[in-house]
Amino acid sequence: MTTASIDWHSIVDRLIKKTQEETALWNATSVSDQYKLRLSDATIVLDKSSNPTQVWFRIEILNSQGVTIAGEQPEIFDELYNKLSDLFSMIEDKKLRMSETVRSIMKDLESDTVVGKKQPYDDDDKLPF
Amino acid sequence: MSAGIQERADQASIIVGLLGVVAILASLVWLVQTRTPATESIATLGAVASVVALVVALIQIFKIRSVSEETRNRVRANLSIAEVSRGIRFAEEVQSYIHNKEYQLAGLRLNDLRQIVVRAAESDTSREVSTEEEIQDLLQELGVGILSVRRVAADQRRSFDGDSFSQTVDAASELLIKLENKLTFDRL
Repeated sequence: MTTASIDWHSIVDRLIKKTQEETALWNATSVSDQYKLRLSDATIVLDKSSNPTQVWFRIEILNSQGVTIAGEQPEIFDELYNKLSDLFSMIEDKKLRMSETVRSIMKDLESDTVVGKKQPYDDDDKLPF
Repeated sequence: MSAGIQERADQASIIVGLLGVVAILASLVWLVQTRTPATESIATLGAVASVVALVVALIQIFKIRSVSEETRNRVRANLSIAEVSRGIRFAEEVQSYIHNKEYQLAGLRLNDLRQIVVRAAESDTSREVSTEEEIQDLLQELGVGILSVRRVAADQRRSFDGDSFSQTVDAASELLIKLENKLTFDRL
């Protein structure tokens, strides 16, 4: 597999831009921490794997026959690593609505109103003893 | 149709051969009558014989080409049914490996299955049982599935959605079953 001719930085930059603009529709695959983006004649797969001390990102391109034709797993100090990390966070953010949820939490916590809801069974008066 | 071409090629060879013999005899008579020198006569007869032989050879080459094409088509059709059946079995094996969490083996078998779907996609028959877009989607999903399974094989702490994965394998199996039925029906 030769990846020398692939300008990964350029591809990842465009992916980041389109993901930011929400014009790239990523989908989760069957395995956790892995997303796919279907293009007209190819698919891009972004994967995050980790052990207790390190996290890796791997980007792969599949051709129209589903064959992996190129892949890149940058080293941790590589600029591409940071870009893939940003892209992955961005995808997760969009998929899991993380930013929106955090904003909502902060809004609730900063307000003076009571937060949380009392459950009906928490009412001591209704206890039979 | 191909058999007809071969028969006609044989007939044409015989006719050209007979015409060639007649042409050589006629040339011989003409050369004797005109008292042409022996060396020149031999050269003329050789040239006529060469032209006749060339025409017969071309007809035979054409015939052999048509025979080999027919044989190739037959072999290809037979292979397709055999391969499609094998693909259906591969799909079952993938499901079984996934069920038993044997992800490494599942990945290998999934790649075999993908290759058969690629072969199926190249056949005209596949267009009769599915659309090109559906097959392309399936191939992409199988490719992604291979990557997913490999990742889980490398790190089994990662969670794996077997149901979502099974849908892809089932879709491949369904396509191949339809294709197998179609190919079997066409052969009858």
